[in-house]
Amino acid sequence: MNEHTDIDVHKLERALTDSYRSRSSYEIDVTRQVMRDVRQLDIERRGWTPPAMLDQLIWRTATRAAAVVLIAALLTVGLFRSQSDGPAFIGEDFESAPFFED
Amino acid sequence: MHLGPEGSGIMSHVAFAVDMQALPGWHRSMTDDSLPVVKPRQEERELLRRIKQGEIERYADLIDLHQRHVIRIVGRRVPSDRVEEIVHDVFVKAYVNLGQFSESVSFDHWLAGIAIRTCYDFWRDRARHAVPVSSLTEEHHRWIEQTLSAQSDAQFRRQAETRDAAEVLEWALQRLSPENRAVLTLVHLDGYSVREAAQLLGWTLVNVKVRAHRARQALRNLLRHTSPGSAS
Repeated sequence: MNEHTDIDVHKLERALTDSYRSRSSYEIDVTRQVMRDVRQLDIERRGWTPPAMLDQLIWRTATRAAAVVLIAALLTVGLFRSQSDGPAFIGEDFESAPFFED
Repeated sequence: MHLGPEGSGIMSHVAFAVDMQALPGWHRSMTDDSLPVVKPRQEERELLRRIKQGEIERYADLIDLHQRHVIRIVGRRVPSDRVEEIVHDVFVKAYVNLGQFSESVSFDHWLAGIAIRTCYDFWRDRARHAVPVSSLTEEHHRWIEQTLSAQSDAQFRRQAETRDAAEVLEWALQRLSPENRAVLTLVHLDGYSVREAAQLLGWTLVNVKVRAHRARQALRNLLRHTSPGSAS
């Protein structure tokens, strides 16, 4: 199989690099199309701002409400436990209540 | 243009076994000046501030200032029929992400990063859709032989400016992965340091360093087998 030598490969690399660098620039202007899209994006952003804020508000309120409910539930359980004085108290209740009355 | 300690492209990465200066076309600098890393000018900062505050029509001034720079970057990286579309995408992306621009580098440099990553996305998308790649023609083989037999610098330069040269380069680049293509273009063709390439692509230094080496090896292997008798 014919292969190029290292010197040939270096030379081709250099020619391709020069070719890459010598590419002429394109005469195009995208200002109008970009500005059209930028204006559209701006309108969409403004249009979407209130729902986005509302959405955020709902989630924040829901999170806080959930946290409050959780804390309240934990406090209630804790309070109940301290007042009831544990399972012994419940046991006494059961023992004092007769199963069958005469 | 600022260049890091890693040097400038091929010249710094290769220990030449032969005196390459003796070959036509090897005396010119490998660096390019399309990606300057300087802080934004005062008027540019003012323009950016006004756009961020809602004066969106001033964005047209910013496009005007930087359009040629972006066209140059994109024009070297994607097919000619897609340049306009991708330059457009670059400016729209830049507008959407304007809030992330920190002003620690020039707007040009920041924009260059977006342009390079958008071009990389283009090739990644193409690779996913398995677009058929071109083969070398008789004309391309003739170009290779004529380039290798160039006797003067002027002759070598003329060869490099032909359409065939661009097509052979494209033939080689099409055979690299999108990642290797992006790194090879930045480090070896544009002549940027590994550190700069990593910054522009948003990749790690090690990743770019490894890819730069592998991509160059892959390119050299492709070129080594471009003689008419070998399978290309």
